[in-house]
Amino acid sequence: MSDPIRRTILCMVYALLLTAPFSSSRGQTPDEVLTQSDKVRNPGVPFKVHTELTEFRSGKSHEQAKMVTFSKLDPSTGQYRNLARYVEPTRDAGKALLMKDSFMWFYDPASKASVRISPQQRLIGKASNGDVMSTNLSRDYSAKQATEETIKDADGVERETWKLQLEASNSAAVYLRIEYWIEKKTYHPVKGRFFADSGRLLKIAFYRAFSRQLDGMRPTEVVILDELDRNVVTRMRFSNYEFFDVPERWYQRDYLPLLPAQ
Amino acid sequence: MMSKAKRTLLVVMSTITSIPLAAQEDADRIPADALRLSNEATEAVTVRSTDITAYVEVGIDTVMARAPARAPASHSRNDRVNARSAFDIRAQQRTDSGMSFYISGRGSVTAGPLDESMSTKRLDLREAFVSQVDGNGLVWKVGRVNLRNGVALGYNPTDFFRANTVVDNTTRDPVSLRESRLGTYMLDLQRIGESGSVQAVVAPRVVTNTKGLDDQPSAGLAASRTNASNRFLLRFVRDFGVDLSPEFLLFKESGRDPKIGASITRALGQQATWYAEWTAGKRERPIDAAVRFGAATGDLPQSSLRLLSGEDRRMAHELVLGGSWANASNLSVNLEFHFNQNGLSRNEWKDMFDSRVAGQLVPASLVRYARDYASVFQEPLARRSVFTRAQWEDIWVRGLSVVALGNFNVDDRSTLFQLSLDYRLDASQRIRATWQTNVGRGASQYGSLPIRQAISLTYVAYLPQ
Repeated sequence: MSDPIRRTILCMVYALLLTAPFSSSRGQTPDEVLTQSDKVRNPGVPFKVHTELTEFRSGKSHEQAKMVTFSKLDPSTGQYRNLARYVEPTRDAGKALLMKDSFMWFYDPASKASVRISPQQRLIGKASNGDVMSTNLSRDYSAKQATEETIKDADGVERETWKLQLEASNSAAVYLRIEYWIEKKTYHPVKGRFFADSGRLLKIAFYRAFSRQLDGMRPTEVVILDELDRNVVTRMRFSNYEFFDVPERWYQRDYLPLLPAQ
Repeated sequence: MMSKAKRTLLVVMSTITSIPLAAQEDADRIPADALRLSNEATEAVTVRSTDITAYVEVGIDTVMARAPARAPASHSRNDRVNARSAFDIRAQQRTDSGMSFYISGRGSVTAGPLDESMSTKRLDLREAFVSQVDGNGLVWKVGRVNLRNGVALGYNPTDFFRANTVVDNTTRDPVSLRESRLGTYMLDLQRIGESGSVQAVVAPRVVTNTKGLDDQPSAGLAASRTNASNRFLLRFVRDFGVDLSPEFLLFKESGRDPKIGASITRALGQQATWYAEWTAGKRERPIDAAVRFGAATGDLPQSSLRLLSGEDRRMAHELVLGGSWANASNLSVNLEFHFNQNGLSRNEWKDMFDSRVAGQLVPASLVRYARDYASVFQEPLARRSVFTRAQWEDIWVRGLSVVALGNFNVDDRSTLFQLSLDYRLDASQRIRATWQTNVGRGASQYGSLPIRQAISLTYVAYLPQ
């Protein structure tokens, strides 16, 4: 799978995951905490957001990409359906990705071809973001354990958190398990560790730069540590959140070449 | 030896202390620059009404010719080294009314193309069209449009507008070849709904293709290449449920029988997808088509018409069955079986190299001509073949990818193989090394090709918008 696909997936996954302030949950079971967090995470309205991806290699900025992402909840599944269109860099402009249910299509304007992508291909790449599709974590994962833990966030500030152990509960879950830290005071997501079916740690994500977006406090940056290549760190930065009623026909693969660039 | 109690204590202590340490180490790995807060005013996506993607490409090709070959080549068969350069541009201008103007082209100069069947200087207008999409999903395009159908990778039976469109032969990778091919002058109407789409395409005959294979236009509108007949396509895509959206096609070309086609693709577990693409219609035998074209354009003498088989057009099916597989180590593989009922059987390949076609003795040059014709018009000669393509990204070092592909003729057991290394220097520069070879007996599809091996080195630099 090419870099544009991976970056787009990365972008879309986190565009959704970052909108995940958790609710207070004392006395709740881990699953209830997860369910509650899903309710808060999902804005409940379709939206678009501008995304900037910057890849750091050995600590230095190496490549940057920008795209526009459109997201909308599927009422029948409770999951987001996502569309992304590349704006920069020049060589990737016009490339587009459709993610709906468990399948994905990638469009390349150079070859005029839409290519079907397997679920596993969501795991390929810089940040191995197979959870891109699963913004509603309670649907695909069950929370087996919740413990209290104090950890450092991306900025080195100590946070008192709930640590949830999420385990895949159906075939739609592309990770075997996820470790997820949620700040107890604000219920902001702080950090996630994502494991492949083999048990191997694929990536670590830190959520930061919270601000008010789409009527809620949401992280506007996600920093992802690549565990397959530990020299690589990817930062995703989200801006210009906007309510946007995405037409249903946009989720047809034939519409990919027609997605707007803004 | 350490006691069991000591070991247990050590393990417990290590476990306890490793938890906060691991968390701390994670955060410490974040580069300081990655934590620099954004300036939204300057770092948001820049909204443009015009998109321009342009790059320059320079390269050098080394060709090792095959000798002797059973099928005589029409061009030089000497080993050679060729330098080449190209400028490639795609530009799109949008208006607030939903209208777009799109143009795409490529100019290239080479000291000698890879197989020497192409012009050394080219200026190809790949696409030039006006399009509009409205809020009801109605889309229209008018102009030269590169319309491609099909879900397979190595060959697309439903790609009805592929004939005579390839203008770059420095690679055998179908993915790359599609990027440089010519579009067709057409009117393309499409209605995209919430559960499918319907599309109608009319591509008129602009001018008859009266030029021989070696004289195909290499500059200008080149309508004789892409619009030498009237063509009509009707296409439907329909959602029948989650992950089930087949497409159905009906195609008619003037002077030929209609074709029908269909394709489908579905997930196969977490790591794979499978797909199928099929067409059927009455077709002329490939040698007959070459003879008829050669006689009409003057490439072959009129007397060559006596070599026509005399067989009626017959119903022929084309089918591609394939699948893709990927793992978490950046490796993805496609494997496809191609069946072309109108292709040459094992005996027909043998007869052809013995200068016999349909029971008649034919000049050896006709064998070469038939193969060149099939190559230009992208009509597969093989009856059964297996195609595979593997792509491994970020192999060894970040930014380095490897693409290996092979096309194996099941009937004559010859193979085309290509290996490419592509390294992304940064966001705007990349270098690529490609090795291709044709392997097989002298009397086989690939073993008889005049190019035994070729090595290409290419540097690509994208220009800023």
